[in-house]
Amino acid sequence: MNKPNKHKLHPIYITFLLFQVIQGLLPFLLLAQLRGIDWTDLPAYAYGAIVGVPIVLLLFGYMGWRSYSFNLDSDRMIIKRGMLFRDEKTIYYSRIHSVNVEQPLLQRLLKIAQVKIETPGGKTQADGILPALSLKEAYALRDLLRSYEDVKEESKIQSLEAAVPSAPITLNAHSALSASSTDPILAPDEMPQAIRIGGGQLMLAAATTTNFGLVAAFVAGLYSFADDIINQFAPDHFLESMFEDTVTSIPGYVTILAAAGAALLGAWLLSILLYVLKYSGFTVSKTGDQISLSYGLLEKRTHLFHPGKVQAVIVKEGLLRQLLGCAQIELQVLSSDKQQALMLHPFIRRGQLREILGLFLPQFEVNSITQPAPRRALLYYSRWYLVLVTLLSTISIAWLDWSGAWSLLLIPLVYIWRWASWRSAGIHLSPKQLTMRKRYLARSTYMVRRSQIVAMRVKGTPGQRKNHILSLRVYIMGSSLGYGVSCLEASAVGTVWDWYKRKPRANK
Amino acid sequence: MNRSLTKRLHRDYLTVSRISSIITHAVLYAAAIGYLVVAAWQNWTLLPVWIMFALITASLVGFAWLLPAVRYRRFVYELFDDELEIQYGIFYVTHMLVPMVRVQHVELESGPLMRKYDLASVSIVTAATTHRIRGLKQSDAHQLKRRIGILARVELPDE
Repeated sequence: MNKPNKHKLHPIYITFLLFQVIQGLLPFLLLAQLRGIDWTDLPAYAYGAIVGVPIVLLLFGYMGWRSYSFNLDSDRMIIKRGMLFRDEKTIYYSRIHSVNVEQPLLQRLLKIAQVKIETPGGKTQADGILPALSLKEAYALRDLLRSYEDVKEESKIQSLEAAVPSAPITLNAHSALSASSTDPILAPDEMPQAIRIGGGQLMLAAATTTNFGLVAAFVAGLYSFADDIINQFAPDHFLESMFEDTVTSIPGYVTILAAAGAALLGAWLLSILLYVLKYSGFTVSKTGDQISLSYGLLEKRTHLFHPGKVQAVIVKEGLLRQLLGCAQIELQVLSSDKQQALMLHPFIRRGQLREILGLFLPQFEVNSITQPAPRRALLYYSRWYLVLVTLLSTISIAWLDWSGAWSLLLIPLVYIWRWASWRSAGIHLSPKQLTMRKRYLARSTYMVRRSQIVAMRVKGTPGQRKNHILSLRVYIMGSSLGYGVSCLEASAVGTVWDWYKRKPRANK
Repeated sequence: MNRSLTKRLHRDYLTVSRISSIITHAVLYAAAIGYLVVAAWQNWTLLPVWIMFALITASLVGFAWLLPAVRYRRFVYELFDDELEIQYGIFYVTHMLVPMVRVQHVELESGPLMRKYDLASVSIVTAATTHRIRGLKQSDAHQLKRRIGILARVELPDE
């Protein structure tokens, strides 16, 4: 550090480029090894490359490190990088939505951390990324940014939040605690409030998650990898012939059922493992004004953000969890990881919801649904699904004769599913917050404050309109798809519309 | 939702969208004719050609004649003091409400065909969504842009 406010990355950043290239080449090296390449008997130019390329990469890495620097001024930070193409980024502290300290695997192994600074407008990547800082520096920087942010908070609330008709967000939890019906807790400034998720609770959470998408991707990856390796040793079509051999020795139904069962079990165990790896050591705490989240076993992540930057609260109850009376709480915070909401709590009893929200996000209220989807909306919920599944059944009966008749079982199943969706749909409106509930498979409850809704959409076909049924969707920052519920009572949706509509200004 | 919106797209936009749709279909026709020539030369069966012609013609009627007309009829909008309301949709009738304080910026764009008819599209961009009003006269579009620019800056007093 040559000037007091000029900072550089950790020197180990020099090696990053080399590591990235090695990481990219790893599958090829492995393949080469499997093919039995004799490493002692390579042409001379190969040895030259093995020595020369890393030196060049290190040189590039050094130049990259030399030109990468960041300045911390009184109201903004400036990140400069790039040798040939200079890139200079200015981030005003007041615009920062969250500061994340992460340790992806490489950083974890090298015992350093990466800091991501999220601001609105960073579309695919975070606006500010500092890929390599020592752990101490990373946390110091985070705390520094936080303290700047706090100073700015007063004026920011006036300039940003005053634009929308809502009371300023309660910065201390006092009022919120009195508002929510929890037992008296010590003043928040005196005692850091932290929730740790223990191992048992995490296992339960993991066991009740069905993260099939992740598992499918993992299995596919594993399969192609295993295929590559087996092809090195085994004759062609080893897997296929092995499968056929096994199949011919056992009756068909049993094999298929057993295979399906094994695959499901395997997927489930895998999803437990992945879940535990991802969320192990889950801690959420409130330090000063900010909420701090940290988790991860191999890849450690911490997120720090102001409660006022939370755009929406999503309570998700999976099928299994609903039976256990448990839910997970997710937060929509502006982040470069657009698809993923932040987890506030992976496994909480439904009864504790009010308590934990009162603690961390006092501006959000837990309300029960008062305006469910009307009885006649069930038609719209189930109609096309039933038509489709009936069509499928017809086709399979025509095609497979009587064994195709099993597909008729799908009809009541689909109906039950659609009925459950209809049953869960509903909204509740309070003066400052809209609560929406819907079910796809898991039941989700969205809590959105009026001041954070960016746009509202209401739609319905002419037929639905005649039946006084409308669908509602709200858009908030950081989620361009928005949150919505289908087929509600038109009058209820009308109330929400009028609630969101700007009141005519008197002083004009 | 219940107040009636008065502003519409310019009538010329109907012509523009029809012309652009006809151009697209002309390309498809050209491809079909090209295939017809090859097929006649090589003595292939001509059945796919007639199917193609039928499909393209059906799509021409749908996309160049009916769709723009229905879309034009259904699209209404109005800029109020504090918010923009848009109503559109062919199958689903959709209402959109965008408060001015949420608008981040406004974009104006017009392609060569639009420019020939002195038309422009206005995109209203918020932190999460983009709303497009396609096909206003250039002067109207500029006026709308300016008005939104002024209204978006207005801050509501604390309630």
